[in-house]
Amino acid sequence: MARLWRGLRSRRVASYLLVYVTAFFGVATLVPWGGPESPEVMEWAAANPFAESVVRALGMHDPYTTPWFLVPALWLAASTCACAYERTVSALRVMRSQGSVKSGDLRSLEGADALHFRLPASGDADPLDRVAAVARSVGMRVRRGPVAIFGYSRSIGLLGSPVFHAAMGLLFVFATMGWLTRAEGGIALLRDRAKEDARASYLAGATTGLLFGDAYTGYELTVREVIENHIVDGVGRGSAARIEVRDDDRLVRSQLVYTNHPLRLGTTLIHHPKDRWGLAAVISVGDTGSVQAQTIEVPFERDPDAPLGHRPYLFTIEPSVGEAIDVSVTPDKAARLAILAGSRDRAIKSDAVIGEGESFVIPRGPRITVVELTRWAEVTVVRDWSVPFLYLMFILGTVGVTLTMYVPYRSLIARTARRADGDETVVSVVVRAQKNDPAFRLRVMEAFQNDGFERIG
Amino acid sequence: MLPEVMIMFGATVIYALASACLVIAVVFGKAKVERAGVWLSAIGLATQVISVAWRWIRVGHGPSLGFYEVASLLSLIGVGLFLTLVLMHRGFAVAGVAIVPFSLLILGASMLASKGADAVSGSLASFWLAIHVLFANLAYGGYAAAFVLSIAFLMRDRAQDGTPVRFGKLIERLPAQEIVDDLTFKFVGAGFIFQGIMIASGAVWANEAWGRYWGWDPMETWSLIAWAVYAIYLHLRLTMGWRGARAAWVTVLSLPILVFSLLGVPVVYKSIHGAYLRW
Repeated sequence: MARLWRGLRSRRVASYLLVYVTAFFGVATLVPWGGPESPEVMEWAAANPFAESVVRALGMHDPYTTPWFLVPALWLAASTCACAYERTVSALRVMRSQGSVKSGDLRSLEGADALHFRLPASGDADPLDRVAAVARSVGMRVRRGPVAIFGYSRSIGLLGSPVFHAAMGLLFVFATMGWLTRAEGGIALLRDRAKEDARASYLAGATTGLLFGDAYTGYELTVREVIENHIVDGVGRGSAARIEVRDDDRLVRSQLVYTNHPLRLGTTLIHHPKDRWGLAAVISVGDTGSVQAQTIEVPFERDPDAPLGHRPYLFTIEPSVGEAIDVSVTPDKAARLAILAGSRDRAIKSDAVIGEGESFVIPRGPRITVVELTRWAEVTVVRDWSVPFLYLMFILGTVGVTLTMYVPYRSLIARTARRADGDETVVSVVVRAQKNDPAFRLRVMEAFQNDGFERIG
Repeated sequence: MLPEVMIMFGATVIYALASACLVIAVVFGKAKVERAGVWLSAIGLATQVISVAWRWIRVGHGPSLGFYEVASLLSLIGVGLFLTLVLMHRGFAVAGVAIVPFSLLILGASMLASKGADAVSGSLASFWLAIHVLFANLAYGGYAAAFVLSIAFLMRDRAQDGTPVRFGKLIERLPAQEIVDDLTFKFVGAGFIFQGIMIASGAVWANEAWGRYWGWDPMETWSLIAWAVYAIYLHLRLTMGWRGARAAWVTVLSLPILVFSLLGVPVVYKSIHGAYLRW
């Protein structure tokens, strides 16, 4: 356990891990990400067959879930937290001991880092008072002992490093927890037709973290209006959708949603991805005995390259007896639907163009009715409670690093000793702020020299 | 020609004169010419600020879209930082011989690019754009200043070792090594904080726009890499006690990674940020 703790708080190990994780980020950008079927991965694999075998074996097509990343990153996060703890203890110890000069401090005045000055005799004035005045002139608060003074600056800077490390450690913890519990997915909503925020409503299912479970809100989401190009302050923001959120009969929120303007429900954000909208239809399939009656909501994907501006929507009618019937529906420019139906054994083949309220019967098949022609819009629902905490940790981290950098803690110890001949006093000074304010020693030296002290070592 | 472009052209000419003065001052050791170079840099900066502000008002968005706007803002920040250094210590005027011509070069390249105003698209229409770009430029400026100071530190370090260096007399006029070292550290710190804000503002913006604060886009990743590299510098310095030449070398070697994250990534990778450097 003691060895583990030593390993966690080792600054050298933390530095190596930071270098490793940074290098890993760079390496991870060199290969495309995705599953084996992803076009980018396939193209890369074909161009680099040898490298692909290594990359695949190392799992680098999904780099941030590999042990090569997760173990060092977790170690670094734990090390950062250990560092925060250790620095907090150390900062509190320094804050508590401010002003008390220990024998070790006095011994440091004999060390190589000490500055030595000579002060010619100047009447009855106590040389230590002059030394204290010099220390105050460089921004020190001074505590005076019988033979030495202790100068120290504002101690808030001591908290900078612990705050920064704690914030960075917690940032990692919150990001990981958020990742494990988040959910994100798109829902295609036809105008005025509500869908429940539940797993089944999501297009291709929602992407959820391992610990998300089934924590959907159950709210009803409805699109009330779809705007092709919403203009705000003269700038086209792309498509927009007025989204209504209801909890049973209670209206929770209603808002026009477009790029950079999501609807917020606590830590849940509802976006409308730009230009994810189109024509839609509600189609009913009649009961024939072997085919069950059903209503199908059809959101047509817009496609500028398609002859009628939208891709066909395909669905299959599965009768209890006989062959399945594949149906293709495409909207035309006259706001009617071109329907093409055919069984797989080619025994049934028919087509028709029908408008809203019209229907046609597939020979030896069911009646198809266009109940409604309308519009649809996609909404993306993202649930991630960790985001505000990440922002907070970032702000704390920034405050921490700012304190460390620009309000550094500095201290000095100075001792005076009268020479045996009694004519002059030797002042020895040790300055402590080398790491985060290396020029402070120089400023102290100049302050003494400007006050008539002569440097002798 | 648009008025703001004419003014920017004027700033370019003034920077060219300032660069000439600063180079002459270095070669011939003329203090008066150096002062003239500093003053001309200040006049050029004021002129450039007018041009940027003029365009901002005309097109309705800050200098953040297209190579002309981004590069001219970078050169503005470069000269601004040079003058800040001079205000902090007059000895830094010698650094102008590197910074001002370099800024002139960037501004000259931007003058060759299209000056048409790119329309703000729906995804860019956010106040986070201005914050993101502003802090990005401040961060790059801070790191660039740290780089110049580190070069100066290392050159004088060599001179103090007894190794003959070019412009030795000039380097002598820089402030004490401790001050140069300290300022390098402070500029890296400022760059680190600003870059952190840049990354965070981008994350907030991405969350607003797409519902995800981090998407491992190459530009995001390389910004994080550059940030982590400077975090390593700060770690080495603050916890491992690296100072002086060793720390200066880390600053010098970090800049290419930063430059790649800014200029190389849009060339090498497909990135959602690719449009910002449109020529």
